[in-house]
Amino acid sequence: MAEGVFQVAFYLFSTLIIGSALMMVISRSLFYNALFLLVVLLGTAGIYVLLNAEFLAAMQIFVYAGALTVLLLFVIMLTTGRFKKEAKIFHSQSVVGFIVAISLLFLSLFSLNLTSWKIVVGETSHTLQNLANFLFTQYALPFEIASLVLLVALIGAIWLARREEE
Amino acid sequence: MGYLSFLPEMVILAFACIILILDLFSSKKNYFFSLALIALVLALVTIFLPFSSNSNSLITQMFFRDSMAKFFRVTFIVAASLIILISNDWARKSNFRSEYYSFILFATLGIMLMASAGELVSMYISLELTSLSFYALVAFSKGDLKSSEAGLKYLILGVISSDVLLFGLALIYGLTGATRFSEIASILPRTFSEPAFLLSLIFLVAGFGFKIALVPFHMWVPDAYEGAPTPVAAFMSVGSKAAAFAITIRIFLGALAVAQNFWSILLPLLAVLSMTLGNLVALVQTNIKRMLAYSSIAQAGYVLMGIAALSAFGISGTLYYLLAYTFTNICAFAAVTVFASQTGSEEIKDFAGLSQRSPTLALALTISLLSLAGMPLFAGFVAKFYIFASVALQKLYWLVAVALINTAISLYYYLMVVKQIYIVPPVSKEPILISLPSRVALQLTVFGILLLGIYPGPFIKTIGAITKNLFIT
Amino acid sequence: MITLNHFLTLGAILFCIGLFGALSKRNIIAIMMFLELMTNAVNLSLISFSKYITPITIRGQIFAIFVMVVTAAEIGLGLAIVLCIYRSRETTQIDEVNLLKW
Repeated sequence: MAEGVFQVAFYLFSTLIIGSALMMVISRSLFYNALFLLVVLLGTAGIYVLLNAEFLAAMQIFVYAGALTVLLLFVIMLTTGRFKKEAKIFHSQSVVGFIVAISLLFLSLFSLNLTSWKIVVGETSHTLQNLANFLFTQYALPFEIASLVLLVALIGAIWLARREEE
Repeated sequence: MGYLSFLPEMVILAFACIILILDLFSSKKNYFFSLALIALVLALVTIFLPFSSNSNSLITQMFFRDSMAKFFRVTFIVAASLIILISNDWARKSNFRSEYYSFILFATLGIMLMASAGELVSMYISLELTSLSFYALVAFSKGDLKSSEAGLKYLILGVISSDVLLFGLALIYGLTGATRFSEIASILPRTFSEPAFLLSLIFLVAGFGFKIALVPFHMWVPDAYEGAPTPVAAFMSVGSKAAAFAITIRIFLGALAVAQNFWSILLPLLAVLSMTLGNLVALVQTNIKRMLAYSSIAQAGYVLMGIAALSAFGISGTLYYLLAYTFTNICAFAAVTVFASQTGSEEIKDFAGLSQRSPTLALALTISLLSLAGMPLFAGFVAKFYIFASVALQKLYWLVAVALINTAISLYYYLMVVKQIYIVPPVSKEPILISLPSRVALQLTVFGILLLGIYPGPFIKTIGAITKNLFIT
Repeated sequence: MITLNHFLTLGAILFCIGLFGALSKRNIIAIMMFLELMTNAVNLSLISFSKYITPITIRGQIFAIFVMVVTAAEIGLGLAIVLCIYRSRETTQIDEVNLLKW
């Protein structure tokens, strides 16, 4: 990819992501919140493409942007509803959260940018094949455990969200 | 045939699934309890079968199969069996079904895998298996408002802490390009003076601090313990805490051992904060589960001292403490479970005159509280002595002094409960009946406490053999 | 020239926005969204490390796949608990869920 295009794409996606994330913070409507989240997730998928992770970009759109956002919208509809605007979006201890987040931000920006990373020059292997190879040989066991994580979440969600028949 | 060394885990998994499937066909509820127990006993047996315990095939090298992993796996299976035993009354009263037992088994699986993880991805995924099972278990009593609230708070703070921990792990990976602990340990000397490493240490300490429940990161503990079903609270306090300690030992003393100078200052500090705050806040609690929650925060401080000693002796102390704490804390929670499921109360003042209502229960609770306080004859004493000695050997005398003062403070609130039990006259004379499974659990834990307290020799020997090979300096 | 530092900076900013939202928002569903944002930020760092530090073995991408699975599971379970609470208390505000001392 030409360097110029790369640069433009990066700044475009970053502005989109950070802008929407900030809109999420100040938005009063849960429904818009979820839509802004969708924009953030799609923008991140764009960044993944720039990072040569096409498969993950696709998964990002399927799993996060597709499934999870729909799930969130369902729960919003089931509880507060679509048009409810909230009078007060932050709780009383939000100052603590602000201090923690802002100090962590400065700390991490400084230390991340002062570090000289041991960058390895080389073209990322684009192939899905490479990913699958690792996932089903070395990482086969963690992969199985991941399926258990999903099973536990599934059963837990069914148990908790189901109405108890008397 | 590397998979064979995972036979105990596979047995537990198989039974967890069988329990779920059988529930579809039969509504008779009580045999799930027996099935879960059978699963754990079988798993315990298979651990001691002479299968390739040191296999190194491609698939299994994500996990350690060393003697420390074995120690933790055995401890966790024993702990889980005791938890199943004390769950019976509670589960029957609250109409819990098969899901409860299979979640307990999944959580057991998670902590067993956590304690043997040897790589960042496998560690993360087993940590999350544990966490998710516990989120579901804490929120498990649907009718109880406190339970779902506790589950929600635990989940939100748990996910935040997982993300923080994950960021730390990502930075470690970024600095070394490796994910296996041994590789990290060999590459890290080239990069550990970078600022990003310090950042990752902050994230790691915060993340693990949450999971272990150390003081600046402890706010979820009292709420989660109070709201959770009592057997679940017991399991959290011994299971997930010990597993988190296991990976802390592996990461800090294994993968990050080179950078000792950076993190070794933090540990005594966190230990002192946890002990002091945990004990001071425990003094004013009126709910016994909340008191035990703060006491468990304080205990985490003592255990951390063993790691802060930075010696094989200290790690042995840590392991011994975790073992002793498993029996002691389950005994205390078992007594509370029996009491609460009969009287419906968890207030300390309602324990008044327990010795007249049920002498057995009173004796068991007293023994466990005295052991928590570290009185001689009981497991807690040997454990505390072991850890304090290892810290003193490293010439950290001030730390020992603080710990001794804390032990004195903790004695006060444990004895206040004992006073309620034996001296204050009871409000009602109605006797408290102990069902057979709970009785067995109480007897086993009391036996464990006395054994570890009076005849610690063989255990100390075994643990010493485990840590001798483990420690990298 | 876009370097690793650009991606890491983006990740850190996103992480901190997520952390702030998760610690400060009143609505539980909004908190869940910010939790997702935080994990997303970590994934971004993992994948950028994967490109710049280990371009051949791409371990970061594998790590990120696992993180995605886990987040989906966590948010799903979390939303189930939210529904469970909403059913009995008719609220999704965190400060109105206050039987236990927070």
